[in-house]
Amino acid sequence: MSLLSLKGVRVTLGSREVLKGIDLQVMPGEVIALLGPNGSGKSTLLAATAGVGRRDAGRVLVKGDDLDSLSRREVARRVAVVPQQTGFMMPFTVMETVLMGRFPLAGRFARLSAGDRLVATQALEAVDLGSFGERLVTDLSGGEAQRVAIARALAQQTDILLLDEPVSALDPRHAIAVFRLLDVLRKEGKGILVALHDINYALRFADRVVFLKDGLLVEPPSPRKVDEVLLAEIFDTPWSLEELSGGFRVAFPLA
Amino acid sequence: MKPRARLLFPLIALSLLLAVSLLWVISVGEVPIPRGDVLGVISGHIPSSDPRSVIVLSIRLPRALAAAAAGAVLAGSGVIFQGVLLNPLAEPYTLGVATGAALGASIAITLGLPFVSVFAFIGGIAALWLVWVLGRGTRETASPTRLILAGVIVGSILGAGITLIKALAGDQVGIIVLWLLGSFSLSSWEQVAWGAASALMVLVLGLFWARDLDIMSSGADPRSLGVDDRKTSGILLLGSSLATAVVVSMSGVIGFVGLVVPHLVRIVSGPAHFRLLPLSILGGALLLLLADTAARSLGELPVGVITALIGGPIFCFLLWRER
Repeated sequence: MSLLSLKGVRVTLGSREVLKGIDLQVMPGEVIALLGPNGSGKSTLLAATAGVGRRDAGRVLVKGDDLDSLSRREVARRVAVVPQQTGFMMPFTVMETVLMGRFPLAGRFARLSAGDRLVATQALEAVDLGSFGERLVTDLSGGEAQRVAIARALAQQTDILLLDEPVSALDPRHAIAVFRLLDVLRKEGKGILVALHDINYALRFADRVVFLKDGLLVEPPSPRKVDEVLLAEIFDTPWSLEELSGGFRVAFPLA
Repeated sequence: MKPRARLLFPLIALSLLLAVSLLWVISVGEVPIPRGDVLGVISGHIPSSDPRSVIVLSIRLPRALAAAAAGAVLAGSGVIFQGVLLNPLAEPYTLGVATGAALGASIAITLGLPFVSVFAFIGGIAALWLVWVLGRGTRETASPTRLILAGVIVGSILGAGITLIKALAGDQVGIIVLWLLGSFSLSSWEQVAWGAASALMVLVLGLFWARDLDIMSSGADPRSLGVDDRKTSGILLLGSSLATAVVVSMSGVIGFVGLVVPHLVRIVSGPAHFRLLPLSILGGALLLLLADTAARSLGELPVGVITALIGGPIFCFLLWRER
């Protein structure tokens, strides 16, 4: 059974229909990369999928249940979101922030247990911030803050993970580390939908690559089938796609 | 810092400070009453017919407790407004809620309507709604200063409305002026009870939703962390506006307590609401108790003058720092 299932999702923002009927299934153990030009609706699609953005028509099934029938808390037990902007404003510590990911699982008055703290600590270690627990989130660099947001989502221990350009502020080493982490989560059977700008990360790490173009999803039969013609069509600019010695395929725009 | 150092110690220190201040505040005045006698009155060792008993139990104690309760409410509401609206500058005064409540009350007094506090509440909620609609902006334009700008503008318009009503009120003008000036000098035990109930409501609401407030104030999308933000912020904003309206009905418009206290407390407690809220409530009680005593010893100044003189410059400093 699919973890996540979108059926005919439509979103209109202002007078523009941004999403014109999106169908997508995310299976356990699958990393799906979502790509598309600026303004193609990647964030809109993730927000609608997580139930935090507009959805004018269509259904979203989360582990078989209609999103609209679930409470916020129940949704947050099944779906974790890593936002594009962390938006940290108040000087909470990194540990306090990551522990907020435990909120959907904890009772209102239950004290956070040693188990919760362990989960948060492991989540921080997973994003290479093991020693950052007592730092203030308002003092972090953009890349560190982005990794705190990833750790907070990990702490939710959900089966479904939605990430909106999680590596946009990360240096290459930490970006690769995040994809390695997604790889581990995939092996645990989680379903992952990640919006990306960099086609090369998608080609290297994703099981499936889907493109948003004119409000609809375009999906090649496999990431291997992504070619220059397809990329040129999606991004309205010519591309070159080369295969390197290690079997890596590298794409770059020629315009 | 150890958690104990951030909640337990400040909690004990502030409680002791509040108790000592209360004792001191009751003992000073035109008729000085030794602190031992104050304790004697409170413990019942001095008979209730004694003049010292009358002064303490009918005048000074209710006044001190009413001021403390009002301070508690204003500071607690400040914490909640700041958390829900993601805005470090939000408080009942800067958001126009207090002025809206005052306008509602002025209208009720002029028309000779009963339940002035109910109209104060309606006025406060209406002002908050207006400020929110004008000041929240879109996703792109939202900013703390925009909301406060809306609050200040709506506040000035409502303030002008109050002036207009005063001009048109005729015989009622005296009551309105007295009411708006904000003084605890005529506080009754009934007002103490209302104030204490409001403070308790703010405390209970804030602690019940402390984790939600943490998440909302952290800057995260609260919904993706399981917080039903519409429902939660609705309840919290209504609750703290109601408490503010009760206080405004007691004492008129008192500014800056809800701004200054949470900011100072945050230095010790950090932003987590289960620490910030109780400490701010105690701190607000202490600040307004002392401000009211200062107002009293300076010849019954409106207490809002004292809080504005202390809080205004601190507000300016915060604005300067956020620039």
